Amino acid sequence: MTVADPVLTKQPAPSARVTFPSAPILRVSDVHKSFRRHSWLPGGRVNQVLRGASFAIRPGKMIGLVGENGSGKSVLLKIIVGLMKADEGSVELSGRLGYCPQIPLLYDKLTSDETFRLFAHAYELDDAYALERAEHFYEFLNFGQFRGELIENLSGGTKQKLNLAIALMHEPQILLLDEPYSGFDWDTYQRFWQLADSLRDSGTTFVIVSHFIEERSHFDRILRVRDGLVEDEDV
Amino acid sequence: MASPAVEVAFANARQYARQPINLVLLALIPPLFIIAMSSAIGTFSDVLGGNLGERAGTGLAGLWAASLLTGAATFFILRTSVRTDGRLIAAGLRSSSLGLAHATTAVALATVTTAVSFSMLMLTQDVSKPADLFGAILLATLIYAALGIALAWFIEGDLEGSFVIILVFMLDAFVGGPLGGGGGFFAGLFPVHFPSEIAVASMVGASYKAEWLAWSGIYLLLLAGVSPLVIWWRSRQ
Repeated sequence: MTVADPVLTKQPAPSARVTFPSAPILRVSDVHKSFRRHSWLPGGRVNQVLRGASFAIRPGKMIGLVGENGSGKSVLLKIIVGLMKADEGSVELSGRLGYCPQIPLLYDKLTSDETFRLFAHAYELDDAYALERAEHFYEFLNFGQFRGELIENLSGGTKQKLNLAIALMHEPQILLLDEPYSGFDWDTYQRFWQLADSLRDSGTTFVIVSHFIEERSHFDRILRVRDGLVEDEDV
Repeated sequence: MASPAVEVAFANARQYARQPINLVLLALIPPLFIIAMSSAIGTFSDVLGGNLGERAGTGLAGLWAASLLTGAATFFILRTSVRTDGRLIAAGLRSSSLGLAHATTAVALATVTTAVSFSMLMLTQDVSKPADLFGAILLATLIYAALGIALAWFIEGDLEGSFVIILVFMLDAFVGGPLGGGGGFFAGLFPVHFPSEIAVASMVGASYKAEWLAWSGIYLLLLAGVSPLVIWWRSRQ
């Protein structure tokens, strides 16, 4: 199957493109993050999750972010997105960002149509374009029949389709995806990778949290989070 | 195209209205407080050292019903939206738009609960100063709306939040308000002490001091000032 839909692969307007494609689109420098639980009380503790994570990513690359459960992958993504503040260190990002969290962070009493409209406002997309994007994702990911259902009534896989579509709808230049296909059926899973490969080939950068060894063939580079640090691993 | 703040405020309203229990409580709590409690309030007041008549007490019950509903609802709206709020901010929504949306939702909710309680009072009671009563209930609901948002600063659990709101409400009703004859500096520290005094006076046609309005406004402004900080802080969690 090929991704034939030009809207799905359309590139950002020239004025919004990264000026120097060879320069890193994302640079994470010496990021530290700890979580304190009653650390001021006897028996309280501090959990140091990130201890100086650093890496840089150039445009048009597909990066796999791997690591054991609790190693700090999702925390790292949240810090890059701005949902969480680092204790130390910095994140430099150029270009539009798309973020697909592991758990869909959506208002559960809105419909898919209403959710597209809400995020279109956040992304500052005009109504006609947002509608066009929504229609294409409904068709491509095959969940248009549920567009009027409340999100709380959708299956896990359908929620995840919406979650992914929201992250993609504004044509981001860099996409951070935290296990974006959990709950997908096999056909949708394959469509996801065809879409991702196609977007990567046209210049979009991906950082994908992954646990599956068979996905390594999709990645240009693999970053492993271990002991609070980020290290390159052989693809 | 509606502004982002309007779109988020509508999303909040849908979140509230599409939870059937919210509408059931909105329809049941004011009549329950106003009709079922009206005869008991005079007795309560005697026991607690106050001297409220039935009509004044019923007005107070209407104010309580609207305040409690509003405080709990704003707390839960913020609680259920906080993670999505963060994602909207990450998507580019301005914190100011988000704050404006939540403030708009809180004011709308306070107005609705006030209207329901006020209508119930007008239908069942002889109200001497309706406009003043409406204003007093609206002030109280706005204060509780701001309180509901401010509590989200400290409390993350739904159960704990409900408990604290009910505790504040009970202290407000039984210690700080006219029910127990509360007066003086200590009683004035409770959130709806002064709006309660105005509501009681409005029910029976008595006069009230302009400074009560001023203190109510100051309390509201203080709490409303905390609310944007809460929204900003919660969106960073």
